[in-house]
Amino acid sequence: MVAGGLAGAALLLAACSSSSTPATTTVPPGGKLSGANAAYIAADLKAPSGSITAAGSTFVQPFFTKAFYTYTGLNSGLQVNYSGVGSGAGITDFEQGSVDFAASDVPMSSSDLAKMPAGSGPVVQIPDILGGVSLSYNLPGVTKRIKLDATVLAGIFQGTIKTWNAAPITALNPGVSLPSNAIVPEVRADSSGTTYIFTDYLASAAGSAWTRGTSKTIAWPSVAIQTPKNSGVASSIQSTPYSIGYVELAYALQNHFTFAAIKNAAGAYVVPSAATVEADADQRLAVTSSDFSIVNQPGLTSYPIAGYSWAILLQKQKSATTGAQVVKVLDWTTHTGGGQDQAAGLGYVVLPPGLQNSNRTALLTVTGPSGQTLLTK
Amino acid sequence: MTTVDTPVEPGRGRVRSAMPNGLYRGLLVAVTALFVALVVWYLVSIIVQARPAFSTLGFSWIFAKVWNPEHGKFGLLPFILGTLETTAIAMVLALPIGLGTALALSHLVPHRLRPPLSTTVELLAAVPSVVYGLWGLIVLAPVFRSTVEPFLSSILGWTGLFNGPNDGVGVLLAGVILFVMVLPTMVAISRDVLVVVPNEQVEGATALGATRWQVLRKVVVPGARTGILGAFTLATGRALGETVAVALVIGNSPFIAHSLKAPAATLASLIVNNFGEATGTELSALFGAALVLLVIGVSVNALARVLVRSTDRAGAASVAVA
Repeated sequence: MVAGGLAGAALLLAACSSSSTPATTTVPPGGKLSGANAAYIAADLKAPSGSITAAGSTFVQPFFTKAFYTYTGLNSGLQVNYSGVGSGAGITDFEQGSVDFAASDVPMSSSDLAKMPAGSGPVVQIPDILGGVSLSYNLPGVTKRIKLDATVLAGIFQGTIKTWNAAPITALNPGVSLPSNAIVPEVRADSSGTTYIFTDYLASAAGSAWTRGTSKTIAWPSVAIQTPKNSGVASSIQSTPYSIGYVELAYALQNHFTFAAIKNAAGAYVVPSAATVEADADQRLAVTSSDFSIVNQPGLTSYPIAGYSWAILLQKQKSATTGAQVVKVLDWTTHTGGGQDQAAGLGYVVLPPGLQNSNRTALLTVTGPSGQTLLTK
Repeated sequence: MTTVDTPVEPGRGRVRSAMPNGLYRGLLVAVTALFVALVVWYLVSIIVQARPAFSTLGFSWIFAKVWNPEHGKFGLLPFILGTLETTAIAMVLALPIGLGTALALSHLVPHRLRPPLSTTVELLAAVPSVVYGLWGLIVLAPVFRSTVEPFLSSILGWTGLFNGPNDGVGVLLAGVILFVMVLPTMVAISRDVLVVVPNEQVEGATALGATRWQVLRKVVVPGARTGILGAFTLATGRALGETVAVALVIGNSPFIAHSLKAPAATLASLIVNNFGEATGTELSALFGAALVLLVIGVSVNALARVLVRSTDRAGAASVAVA
């Protein structure tokens, strides 16, 4: 496979045809980090000693593993045991009270929240990391990066666009000689937040051309090869000529995959990278756990297939000690100066400062059993 | 049991055990009961977990064709067929090749080569299944796509079993990976039972003028038949229940495969792929899938026993006639 070609300059591959009106939206900055950040981060590292358990998303696991390892290095008294059992299983564990916090690629829905035991009180959900989804492909003999849009992707992944030289694809890629081989769509066999983000984009950007909904599991057509985990899909793409699949960006970057430039809402074809995913997220900072989609945002440099992973905890903690440990670890993990500094090296994208601030506001509402605030400066 | 004060000549008389007979028997009964209790516990908990699926969906869902949890459809037929197909491919390859290897290791290969070769085979049994799966996906799949599948399509295309594109991953590759995985079990156990066929019988047959091939076919293999059946049953069980390796190489397509080259899924791969995030009826249906898998395993086992018993009788009859 050809290396990703991720020189910072190649963020914006090509603007769309002249017919598209240049986006006038000025990219709002991700906001500024609150002034007291350093004081909180320093206090976070003085969490009471002991150990806490958490479970959930596999997408966030490499980041959490690194962040918690670093945390324990700085505060050797506190150990965080995180199990990557999958987002759904993490939520189930959380509902049953067997973990101190959970992580999920999709926040708990109202039906999930309805399953919380009576008297457990409100649930706080905060974004913990930002990530993108690449469309990685294996096209022998094609050296130029291909361009795709949502409608074409919908056709490919529903099995209606069958060959690489089909008219809808060649129309987007003038001057690229595409082979007549059949397209092999590669998808996730297991329930996956990556699938959710990808289908969220298709539903949002392809409109009625995408008929299979937005979900962590999709009824794929029979032409699709389904493999478990990001690593499985990635291996399958590598060993299958003429295949294309959606792979978490962190994974695709680390393995130097070739991925497509995707048409965004402003009509520009954008290559995924930390900067373009961040540009997309910056367009919509007011995310909440019930309104969290950030796919297909405006802005010429926005890479449109992106999403957050979420940490989930009880607003009223059952134990003051465990509660203090949980809020401090999560505050440290979701802020620059703390865990977010580990993100870039692993291919994740740092949370916009505005969201880091709202995370702190949310964590400040978390209390112990007698109502005392647990997060301190 | 060790004898304490009474020296006993080996092979003669009753061994007086230091442990009273009653205690000895009691201990064995307890151990067996524990084992049976574990099996019953396991079975009952699977049935309990699967019950909601049966009470909401009845029984027909097991043989329905569509698996789509989003729309409340939990048909298991594609997975049942996928399980049977991949296991059949594995065992059709493993029986002759495994038995042949075991025979070679027990009776044909020069003595000094037997230990290293046997160790090699047993080493294969210790390879984690995910490694077999990754090897299949990364190394074998491209070979299947470029060479094996086109070749089979060209010589066996008339059967209709090899229609469609050469994807590499699919039923055939999963069956072959399972074959590689069960081969050590098949070889190691078969070899162990083949070497204990009494030498007198072998020598007797040779003295009667039987060729080496005739000795192997008429004396050694029949003598070890029960053990070979055991090897076959264990290997089949492993093939039926293998999860991770199959999930990596079968393509996990929840449709009935119309070609051996097409992607499919097995009961075990269905469970491993969906268990992590399944809740409610879907989770219950996955336990139902585990129950179906168990029933298939028990049936295959019973069928093999019946077959051997009937060939035993046929064998005895032919001996009597002769």
